[in-house]
Amino acid sequence: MNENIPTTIGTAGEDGRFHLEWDWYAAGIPANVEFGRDVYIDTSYGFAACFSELKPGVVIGDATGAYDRASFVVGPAGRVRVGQYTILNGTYLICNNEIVIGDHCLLAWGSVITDTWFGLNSATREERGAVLRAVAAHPARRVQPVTDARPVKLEDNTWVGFDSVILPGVTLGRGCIVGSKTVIYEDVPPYAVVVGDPARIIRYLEPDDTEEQRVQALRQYARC
Amino acid sequence: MVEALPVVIEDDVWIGYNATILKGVRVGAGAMIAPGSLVHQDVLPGVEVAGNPARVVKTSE
Repeated sequence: MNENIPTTIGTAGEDGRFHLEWDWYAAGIPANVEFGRDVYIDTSYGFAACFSELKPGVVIGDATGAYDRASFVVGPAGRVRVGQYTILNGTYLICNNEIVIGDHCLLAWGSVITDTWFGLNSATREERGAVLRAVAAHPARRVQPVTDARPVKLEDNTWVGFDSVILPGVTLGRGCIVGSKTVIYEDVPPYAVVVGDPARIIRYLEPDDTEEQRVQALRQYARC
Repeated sequence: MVEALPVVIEDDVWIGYNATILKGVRVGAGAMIAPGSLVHQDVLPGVEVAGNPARVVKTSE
């Protein structure tokens, strides 16, 4: 047991926000973030753009860690759920609807998981220009959610490589691996290894899951 | 000696998450670079490019 790692984030301060004793960023973590046991957050700066108005807006499961300024960019109607024993290494979670990450997931540096990307909704140049002007006119310079965000889900035990992008509406099946710099537009089946832009499946893994777990993973994938 | 070349991003361009734009590239006005793209050639105004290497997926309206 490393004594530098706390067992809880602690209680909220007088301003209702969670302040980490080792933090260089003073603003703290918003009050509508829920933590399990043994969660590690390296800095509250990762929540500087977390504007969720839901309760809870972000849920982080037991023993999950957010390292290297993993960022939660969450709009007013967004909710992020992260499971247990998951590692977020400098990951960007951009959420205006819902992002769900399962247990035992490993997300590498620079990976982006988003349920919102305006461009994929075949916007015209005029519409895109209007979005930028709306940002400039907003008092806090925030981008307003301009598109129907589609939920993203990462099932348990998925690995995402460096600088990969997971786009809106995607589900990653249980135990799949996403290679570095991969761009995911469509669902990935359980236990698949995908690489490239656009992503393609290069092989399937032989997991040591039980038969029952495999069947359940395939059923779950077929449902979405 | 490494050759450096100017990169120009014109007005109203959208560049997606984790996209890379290499040296010497001019991205035309109103173009759209899809997330994760690697752009090593000029992008004409108003078109949408995606992939590694980036290819045109939609021409201007």
